[in-house]
Amino acid sequence: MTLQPERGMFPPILQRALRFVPPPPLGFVLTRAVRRLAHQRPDLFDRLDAYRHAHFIINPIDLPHVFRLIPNGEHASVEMLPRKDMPEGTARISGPLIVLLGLVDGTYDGDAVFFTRDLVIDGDTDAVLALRNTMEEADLTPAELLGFKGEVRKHLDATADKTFAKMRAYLNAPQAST
Amino acid sequence: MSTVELSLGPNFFNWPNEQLVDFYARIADEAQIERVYVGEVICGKRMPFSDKVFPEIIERLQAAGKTVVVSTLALPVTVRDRKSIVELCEWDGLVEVNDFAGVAKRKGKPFAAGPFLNVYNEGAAQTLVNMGMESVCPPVELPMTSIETIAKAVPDLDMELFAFGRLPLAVSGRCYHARAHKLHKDSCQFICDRDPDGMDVTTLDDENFLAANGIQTLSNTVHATALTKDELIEKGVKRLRLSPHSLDMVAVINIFRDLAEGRIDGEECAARLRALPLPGQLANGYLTGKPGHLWLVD
Amino acid sequence: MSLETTQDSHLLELVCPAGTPAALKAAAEAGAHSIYCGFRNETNARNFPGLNFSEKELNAGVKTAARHGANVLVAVNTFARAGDTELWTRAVDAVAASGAHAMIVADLAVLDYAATHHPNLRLHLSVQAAAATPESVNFYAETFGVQRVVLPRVMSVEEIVRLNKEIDTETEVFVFGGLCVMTEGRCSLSSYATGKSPNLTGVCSPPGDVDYQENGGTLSARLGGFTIDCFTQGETAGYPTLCKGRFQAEGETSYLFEDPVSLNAASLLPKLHKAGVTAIKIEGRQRGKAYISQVVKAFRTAVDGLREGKTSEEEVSAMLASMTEGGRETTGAYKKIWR
Repeated sequence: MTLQPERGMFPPILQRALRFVPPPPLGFVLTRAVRRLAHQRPDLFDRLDAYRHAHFIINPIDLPHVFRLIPNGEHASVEMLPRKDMPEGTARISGPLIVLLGLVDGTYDGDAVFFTRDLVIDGDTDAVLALRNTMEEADLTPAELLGFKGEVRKHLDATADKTFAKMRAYLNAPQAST
Repeated sequence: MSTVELSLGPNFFNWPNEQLVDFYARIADEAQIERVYVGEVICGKRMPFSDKVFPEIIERLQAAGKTVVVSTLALPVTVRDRKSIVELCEWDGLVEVNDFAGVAKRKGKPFAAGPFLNVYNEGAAQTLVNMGMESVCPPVELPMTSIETIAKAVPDLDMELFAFGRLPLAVSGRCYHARAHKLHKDSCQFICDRDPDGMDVTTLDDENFLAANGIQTLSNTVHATALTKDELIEKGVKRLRLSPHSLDMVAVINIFRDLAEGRIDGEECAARLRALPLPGQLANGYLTGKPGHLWLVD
Repeated sequence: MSLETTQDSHLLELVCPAGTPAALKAAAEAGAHSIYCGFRNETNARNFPGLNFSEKELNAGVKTAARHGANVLVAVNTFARAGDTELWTRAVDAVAASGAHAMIVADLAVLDYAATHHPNLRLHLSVQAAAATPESVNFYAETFGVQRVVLPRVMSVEEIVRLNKEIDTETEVFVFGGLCVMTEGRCSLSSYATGKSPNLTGVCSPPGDVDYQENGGTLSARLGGFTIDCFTQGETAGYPTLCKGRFQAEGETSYLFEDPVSLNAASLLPKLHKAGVTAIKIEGRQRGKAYISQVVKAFRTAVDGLREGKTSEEEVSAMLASMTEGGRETTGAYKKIWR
């Protein structure tokens, strides 16, 4: 059963294993990444307009943790919290991790998965739309977001690309839009 | 002293000729109303039928002392549709245009603009006044604040407020009566004549929502402007437009006559309207910039 | 500008959408002849959060497009709010200053301002003005000097042929993407349910007014509280655009106004060219750059193929199969049977 995952979900055995990843360091790394981005691309945060103060709850339903993103430019923060402590946010985006990642790197066209059941939006839809459109403009690759440059970035992104594609196939996630 | 006039808007529905003749005969004889808009505005295919009775209807109304305005099509498509607009725009009396084709043909001669013409602001209104527009009934979704702004910015323009009836929300190239009856628009069998107030469209939870009338989509609710006479005058409204339905329109006119002359307030107007067999619930949300289906009392 | 030269080299001008500078770049790289976009405010009919351009981004976008030999068209195509028209006139001034090739306009007040204050600014009539007859098109051309009209999606190819014979204005038609079943600029369905509409606020069936309700295995999509559609487990849930919902009439449940399909008139390109159409337009400023890139490439291939007499229909269809809503397509009103 665990080898036949449901539409893009991580197999339960892996979900259990992930429970042992310590939360704070990843939140810290992501916070730094978003703040760095605010420094390099202030236009992105202008684009978010009032929603830069919004609290986005990113909920990878196949992981034991959730993230709270406040994309407030150089004061941005990303916290990783255990699911049982999931806070109320302006908006919550829930879906399998692979689908959420596919949205960041542009694998999925927003319209294609945003309003299908691969992704569930609660709360202020306009906030989510602003975030989605801003990410479109940002055109980020995972390695770029994490601050890698040059050849290392290229290599990491190529690896990530391939890995994600394999994972999508393995996890029976929706096909890429491109 | 300022007054608020009343007008009867053009009939949107496909009524048989006898019904049209009787309806307007009663308006001529019994209704206390200054202005009557006459003519087919929704579907050019209905015109060959109703065109036969409109001349006598116009004569009858004029003989009764009503100002008759000839209304033209909202969405001309065929050569015949276009010809009808050209011909009607040559009329010596006042013509209501509902498409810019009509503005082009009427240029220089006075005209009235119906709610299908997009007049959303004082700039558009002034541009059209320069071309001969003397009266406007703005699109129904326009809030009262905008209507007031236009009325005050363009004082030589008569502001006519859509005040009663199912709201004209949209027109389309496709006929929904034909589609609902699995017919084709070109061979529609004039099936829209089955619904004298439009075909009810409900949601999947059986909630009343819209009404289809050939290529037109209306609200299921009946819009009613229940502002008092003083409020209307203060906001620059010169005339209230009542849109024809199959219920007793003389009774509707009498209620709005009482409102326009300050004998009743909005609350009583609404209460008296509700006593009539309305095709839907009352609504007035658009006036305050809210969803059009809502009924809001302040 | 480059239009004279590009017009010689293509039979149909390919006009593509851009909701962000990244999408503009993607469209230019994919071979768009022209790219249309709008400002990040109520002056354009795709006024969604996080979408569209600042003045600075537009200025840069014009330069990016020029590097790829493409023109930028700016949509200032909503109806100005009474008493607040400065937002629109300021947008017109900004377009004129940006070096954009043309401005797409619907409102008389905006047309009048542009024609008076920027007589050299090329004007295209937006589809939101719904000009479908020679009389109305000529009215806009004679009064404001409009040089191109974007035709409503309610016209058949035969009607376009006839129209083009009676006007001197260029025509542009939609060939791909979302399909408005109601005449554009004449529809208040969205504001009836939500208070917001294309003409009032530049949005239709806005996401903020959508909510989903799960009920015993079925998902209801509601707009402003009205149930627009219902889906059973496993069914694809399309975006609940009001006119593409399921309703009841005459005792039957159906997609009364329009099935949830999108427009694809790729197969009609040769006919549209013969009909005298100058430009073909792709809908979708709200769509991602991945989508834009793919659709633009497909249509550029088709447009280039026209010269050699190729129809490219199958090729285009294959390239676009996954891009349409629910995978279903229609040629819309272009084929008369649609009505």
